Amino acid sequence: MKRFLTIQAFFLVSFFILASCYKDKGNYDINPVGEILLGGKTYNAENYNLQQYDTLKVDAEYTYTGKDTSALKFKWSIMPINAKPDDTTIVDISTERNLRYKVVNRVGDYTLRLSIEDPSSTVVRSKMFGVKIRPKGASGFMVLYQNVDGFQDIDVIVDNTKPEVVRDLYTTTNSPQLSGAHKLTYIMNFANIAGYVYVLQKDGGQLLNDKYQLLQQANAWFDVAPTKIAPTHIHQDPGLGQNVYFINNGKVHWPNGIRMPFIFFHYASGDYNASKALFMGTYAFIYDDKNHRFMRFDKASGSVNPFTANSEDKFPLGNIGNKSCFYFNHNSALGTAANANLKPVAYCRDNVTGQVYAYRLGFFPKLATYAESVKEITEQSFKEGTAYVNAINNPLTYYAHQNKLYLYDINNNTHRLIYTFERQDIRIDVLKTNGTQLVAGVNTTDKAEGEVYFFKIDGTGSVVGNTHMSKYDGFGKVQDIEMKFNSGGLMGPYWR
Amino acid sequence: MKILKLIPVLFIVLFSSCEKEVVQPYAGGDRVQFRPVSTNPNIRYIENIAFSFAGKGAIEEHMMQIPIQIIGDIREHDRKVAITVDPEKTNAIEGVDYILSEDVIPANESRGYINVKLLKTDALETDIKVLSLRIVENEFFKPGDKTQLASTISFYNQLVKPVDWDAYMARYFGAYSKRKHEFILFYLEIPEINFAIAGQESKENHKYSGTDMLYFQIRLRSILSDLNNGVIAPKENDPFTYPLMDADVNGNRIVFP
Repeated sequence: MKRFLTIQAFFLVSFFILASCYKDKGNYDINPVGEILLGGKTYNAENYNLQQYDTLKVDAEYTYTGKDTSALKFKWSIMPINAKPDDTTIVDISTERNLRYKVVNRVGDYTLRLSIEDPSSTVVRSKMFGVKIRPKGASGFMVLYQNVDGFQDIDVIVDNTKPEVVRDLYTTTNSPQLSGAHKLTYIMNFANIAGYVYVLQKDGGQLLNDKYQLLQQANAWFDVAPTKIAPTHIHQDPGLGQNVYFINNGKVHWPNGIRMPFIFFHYASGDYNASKALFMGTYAFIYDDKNHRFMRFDKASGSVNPFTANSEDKFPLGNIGNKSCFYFNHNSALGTAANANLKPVAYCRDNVTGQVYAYRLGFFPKLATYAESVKEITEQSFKEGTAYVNAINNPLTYYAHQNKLYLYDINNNTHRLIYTFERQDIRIDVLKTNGTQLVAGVNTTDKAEGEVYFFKIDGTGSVVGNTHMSKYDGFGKVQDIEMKFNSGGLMGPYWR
Repeated sequence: MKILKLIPVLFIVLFSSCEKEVVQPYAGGDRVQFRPVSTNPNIRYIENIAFSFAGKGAIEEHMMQIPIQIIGDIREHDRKVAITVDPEKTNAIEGVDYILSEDVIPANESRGYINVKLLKTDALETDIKVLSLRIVENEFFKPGDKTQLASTISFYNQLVKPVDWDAYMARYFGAYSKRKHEFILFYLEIPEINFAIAGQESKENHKYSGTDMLYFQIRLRSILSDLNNGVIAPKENDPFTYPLMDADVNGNRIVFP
C-alpha cells in the first residue's frame, strides 16, 4: 500500500511539472512593439540661443519601427534648467510634431524636452535640449540718443537688414534716467562671453550688463577712484581683446587682467593730457593736448613717454605746434600697422589759423615709429567736417559735411563726394565702418530727431548703388552707434 | 504601588517649569567702559593700541580717539567720563608727550570717545612712549566690565621693516629702504603694510594680498615718477624731497619695479 501511494504521488507531481510545458495557443495576436529612436542635437546648454519673443523652431527628429507613424503623440515642454521632475515650472508648450514656439519666457537658461509616445504600447521616449534665452536687443547696433527733454536712451537695431528696432532699453531697465552720455563701448572676451556695455558720460560712467542693467558707476572702475571722473575712451582689441585701455580725464589706465568688471590700475605716469588716442594691440599712442605732441604708452613701465627723435622724421613728433587733433586712427583692422599703406593718421587743426593737417606715422621694421609725412588739407568740407572715420582696408577717410558724405584719399590728398542725403536740414554726427558697410548717425539741425543709415561700400570706398541699404528712424539726437554682438560670435564683427 | 506614590512628585517637578518668568530690568546703575573697535562679536576687546608717526608725513600731533560705551540708560544730558593715568604703566608725560581732554558721553547717546592728543617729539625716534588710561567712577558712571576698563597707547616715530618684505613684497616694491617704506605708507595713507597669503588678507590689520600689492605697486610707481619729474605737486604734509633718494647723502634713487 505504501508503495502504491508513492507511485501515485510520483505521477501527480510529474503531471504538474509537465503541465507547464503545454503551449498555450491563446486567442490573441502577437505584434512586435514599435521602437522610437530620437535623433537631433546632442544636449548642450546652448543648443538653441535666441532672444525673447523670437520663435523657437525645432523639428522632431526620430525613427519609428512601428507601422503607424501618424498615431505617435508629441509633447514639447520647457522648464528652467534646474527644474526637478515634478516641478510646477515645467510648461507644456506644444503637441505638434514640429515645434514653433514664440519665446515669452524670462531671460535665462532652460531645458526643452521632447516626448514622443507610441499609443499602441504607451512607451514614451524623451530627449532634452538646452535653450538660452537672451534679452531682446542682446545683439545688434546700439544707438545712443538724446531726447528733447535732455534725457537719453539706448535703442538696438537688431539686424541692419531687417526693420526691427528694440526701443528704450536703458529706461525700461534702469532708473533714474540717463544723461550726459557721449559714448558706448561694448567689451567682451573669453572671460566674459556675455559682455558688458560701458556708457561713458561727461562726468561719470556706467557699466551695464548684457541685459542693460546698471552694474556699476564709474567710481568702481578704479583701484582708487580719481578726483575727477571724465572718461573719454575705452578700447579693446578686436577678437580676443587681450589689450584694453581706458582714458579718464586725459590719463591712460589699463586693467589688471581680463576678468570683468575691470578694475583699472592707477594712471600711467607722464606729463601729458591724452585728448586723442590710437590703440593697436600692445602699441598705444596718444596725442598730448597739453604739450602738442605725440607720445607712446609703455605698459611695462606704466608710463607715457615721448618718441625718440629720428633722422627720418618729416615733422617733430615731440612738438607739432599749437594744434588740437580731432581724429586719430589707422586704416587696418587689427592694427599691427606694419603694413606699408595702412598707417596711423591724425587730423589736427591749428588753434590759431584754423589750418588742418594730416600727420602720418610710419614704422620701421620692429615697429620703431617715425614721423612719415605731414600734409595740409585745404578742402573746406574736410576742415568743416562733423564726423570722420578711417576705412579699414585702404588709406581712405570717410567724412561728413552738412548733408553729404565724402572720401578723403590720404595718399593723394584728394577728396570726392560719395553720397548726398535728400534732406538739407540735417547734420551727420556719427560715422562708423566695418570695411564693407558704413553707418551714419544723422540728426536734424532744428529738432532733436535722429536717423541711422547703413550703406554698402565697395572696394574703392564708394557707396554701392548710390543709396542706403537700410534706414532707421524714431530716435532722438543720435550721439553714438556701437555694435554689440553675442556670445555666438566671439571674434565679433569689427566696427570702428 | 510605589510607582503610584511617585506620580504627584512627578507632576510637581513638571509643572514647576510653567511658572511665569518676570524679566527684571537692568539695575546695575549707569556704567562706562572701553568699546571694542571691531564690530565682529568674535573679536574681543584689545587693550593695547599702537600708533606710529612714521609714514604720516609732516604732522606734529595726532588725535587718538578711543571708543567708549555705556551700560545702562541713555540720558538727555552730557555725562562726563572719569579717566586716570596708571603711573606704573606710563612713561609718557602729560603736556610733553600727550594732552588729555575732558570727554563725555553726549546727551541721548550710548557711545562716545576718549580723546588723547599725541605729540610728536624727537624722543619718539628712539623711544616708545606708553600711556595707560583707566576708567574710574564719578558722579555719572561706575566702571563697566572689568576687562574693558584699561586702554594702553604706545606711540613712536619708527618704522620696522615688514618681515615678509624680502620674501614677498620685494617683487612689488624692490629693495627695502626706510625712506621707501615711509613713502609707501604716506602715499597709500595707511599706518602699516604687511603681506598676507591668499585667504588671510585683513585690511583692518593692514595685511594685504598679492593683488592689492600689485595695485599699490602701479600706483606708487606712477606717483613717484610724476613727483620726481614735477608733473604733480606733493600732497599736503609731504615730508620728502624729490627726486626721492634713499639717503640724504650718497643715496640711491628710489624706484619701484
